Amino acid sequence: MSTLVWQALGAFNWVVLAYFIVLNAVYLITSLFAFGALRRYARRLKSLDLADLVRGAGAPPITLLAPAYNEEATCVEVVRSLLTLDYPEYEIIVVNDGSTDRTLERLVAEFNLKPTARIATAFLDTRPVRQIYRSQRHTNLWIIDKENGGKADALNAGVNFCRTPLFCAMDADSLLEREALVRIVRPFLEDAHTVAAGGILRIANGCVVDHGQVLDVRLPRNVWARFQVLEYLRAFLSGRMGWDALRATLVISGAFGMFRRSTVVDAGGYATDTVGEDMELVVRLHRHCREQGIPYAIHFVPDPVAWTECPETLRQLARQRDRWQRGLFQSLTRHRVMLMNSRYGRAGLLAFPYFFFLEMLGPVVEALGYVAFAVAVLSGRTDYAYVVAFLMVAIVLGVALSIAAVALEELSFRRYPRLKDLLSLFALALAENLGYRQLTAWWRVKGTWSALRGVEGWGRMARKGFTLVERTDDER
Amino acid sequence: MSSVVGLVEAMGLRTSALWLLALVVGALILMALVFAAYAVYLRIHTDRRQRLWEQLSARWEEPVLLALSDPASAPRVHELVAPQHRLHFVRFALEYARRVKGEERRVLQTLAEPYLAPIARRAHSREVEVRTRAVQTLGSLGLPPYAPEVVKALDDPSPLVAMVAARALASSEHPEHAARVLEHLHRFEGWSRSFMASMLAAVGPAAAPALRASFGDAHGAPWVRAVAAEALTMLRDFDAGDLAAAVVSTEDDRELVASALRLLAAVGTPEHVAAVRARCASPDNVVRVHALDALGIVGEEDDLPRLLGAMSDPSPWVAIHAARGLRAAGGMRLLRDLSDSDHPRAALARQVLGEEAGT
Repeated sequence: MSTLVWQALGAFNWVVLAYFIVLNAVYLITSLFAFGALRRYARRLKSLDLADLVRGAGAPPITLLAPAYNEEATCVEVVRSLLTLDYPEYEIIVVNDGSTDRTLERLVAEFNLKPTARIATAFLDTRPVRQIYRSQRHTNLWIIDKENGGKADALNAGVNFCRTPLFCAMDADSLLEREALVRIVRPFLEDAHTVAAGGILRIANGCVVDHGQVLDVRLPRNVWARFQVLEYLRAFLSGRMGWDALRATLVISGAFGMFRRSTVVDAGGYATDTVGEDMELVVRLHRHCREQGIPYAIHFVPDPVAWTECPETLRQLARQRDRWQRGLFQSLTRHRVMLMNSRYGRAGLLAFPYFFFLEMLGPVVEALGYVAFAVAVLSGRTDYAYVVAFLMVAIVLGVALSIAAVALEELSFRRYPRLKDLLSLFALALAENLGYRQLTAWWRVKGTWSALRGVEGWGRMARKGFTLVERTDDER
Repeated sequence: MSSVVGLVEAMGLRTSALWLLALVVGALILMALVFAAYAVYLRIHTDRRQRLWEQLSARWEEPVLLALSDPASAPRVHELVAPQHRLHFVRFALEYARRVKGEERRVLQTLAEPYLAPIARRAHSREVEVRTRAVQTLGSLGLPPYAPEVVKALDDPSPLVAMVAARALASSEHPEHAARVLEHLHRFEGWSRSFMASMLAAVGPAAAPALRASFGDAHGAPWVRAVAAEALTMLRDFDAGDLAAAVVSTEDDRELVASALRLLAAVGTPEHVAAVRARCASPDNVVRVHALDALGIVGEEDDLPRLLGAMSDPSPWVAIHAARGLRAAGGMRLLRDLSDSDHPRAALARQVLGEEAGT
């Protein structure tokens, strides 16, 4: 019996090793693709002054949809920033999703909102809309006040009242850079079949913000936030850029993505019964377009930036990761027909299996692998070579790939101008693999378990608000 | 799996395999470290390059601004450009050229012209991005002397290079190239139609004859004809009204008919209203929307009931455009009556009245 257990453990250790090799090989491949794509993109930006073309004319009007639930700490600052975006023609619709704090009151007072008639142009199911307001000061600013129904429900309400061909879904706690819309609209101009495009999210903690714009980019002081800076760089520059180069983008962040309104409406809008409505929508768009034979493209664009505040406590971070994992699980299991199915092209054959096996099921293998490895080492039933190989594959290769992500940032956008910050990021790449990564694997295992148990709900993240530039009374 | 392990062990290869794995991973790690070192090197190198660029910009800025206001002082600028910094100067001039037009643009072209020969050679590079950049530079600073190079780029295998060439040639300063751009319009079919139209409209009224010819070409691709119609709309080319009415009456392609209706909304006259009215009953929502827009502008008083009736259209989009058409046609009283009633579209009437009041 005992021999059988040890044999099983030994075999499992090999499975874990294989898992890490495959996972890191995929990361490496996407990083290499991302490297080439970022180089091409940077040169392309130099060659074609698209911002100039967009400003000239021909830019499609856009509606910004910002669902807000209890965002009194940041909502005014965020709306101010949205009002200063550099784009020829856009509307802002903030959807107050039944906030129980003073979100609506603050917006009404700050922007001089008055009830105004506006009819729906689509009829996605949502919780009842109580009132629609329009700013008397900024005529492109609208607020939809509705009963609470969750983020997806709020976005659907916004889509119902959207009257432009494109809409940009974002979080009401994110700050868009001034040129973000000009940049994210590019794929829609270059390819009329584009139905969705995602931008990059960056972490605003620690940065100095003034009038809704990030003025000084700095690494956060909080260590958990610092780790997330690195995670975001890896996820967006190595991951999403690489998947875009492979033409298999399966995720567009809910905090910043542009969509063709008519396609989203035809596909049924956002799903309200998942906490991963952003990923679910993109997966469904792939499915909808493929099944209906509609030519389409979904892109990731690396330079339109949305700055967002990330959790700074372990409890909030754990909740966020639990929710992300549940969203991933719900999206992938709902559309499992796409798994390894050539009907769905590269999305079904490349991206879906990666997310299904390595992102959804992987954390379980990873977390159990750490335990099995510890047991094998402590019981003395493994040899030195295996220990070295495991540490190399599970830890050191992870460090190397994180370093590669930082290097990609340096080669492309260089948003952290201080050399000290660059070196800190390299140090974080090392430190992240010695505890933080294992912790996130554990949270994701818990998230998978929560999804299997059918746990619902978002959990709440208390906002600190952005670090504003200090001003004297005269400057105010 | 255990049998695989057993087999590997039986072959005495397990330890060797693990060491091999460790070596491979070690090599990958080394690669990542080299990558990191390269990133740090690049940071230092880029900082140095940036400092040089700032120094050069500071050196050239004042004399160039002086040359823009007094072209006679242009030769002095050339004295300040060292041979090794000529391409930097072209970049400097290009950045300025994006911000100026007319005589000032011509001064910049004169300043950059002696240094453009190497750029023209780059227009034949094997790398797409290098060719694109070269064509962009020649298009901004090298026209007319380098016009043949830019026109040739319209046939470049890369759509990006071709687009940059088209953009450079579609300029009010060089209307003579508009026809060549129109001939190549089919190459940009993937691009947004309104984007292409705005590019062509940038040429100005001088492009109108070529655009009308393209729009009226019954054998042309509907997409190209629709782009030409949109450009004529932006130019408000009143001579295109009859052509648009003919297209509305005879063509079937939805986008082409919609573009022609938009053109009629901009330049149509009461003589064209019959063609527009016929399309108000189209089974296609998109066509109805544009027909009602046009009817609101070129229609007559008799058309008010038709517009009012269209406010009950099952499509909310059609209803919105009918309401706006009604407002444009002077049917404010009808809209106010509707807004006070219990009609299902009373809220729409209030919305459109609110838009009129700017609230």
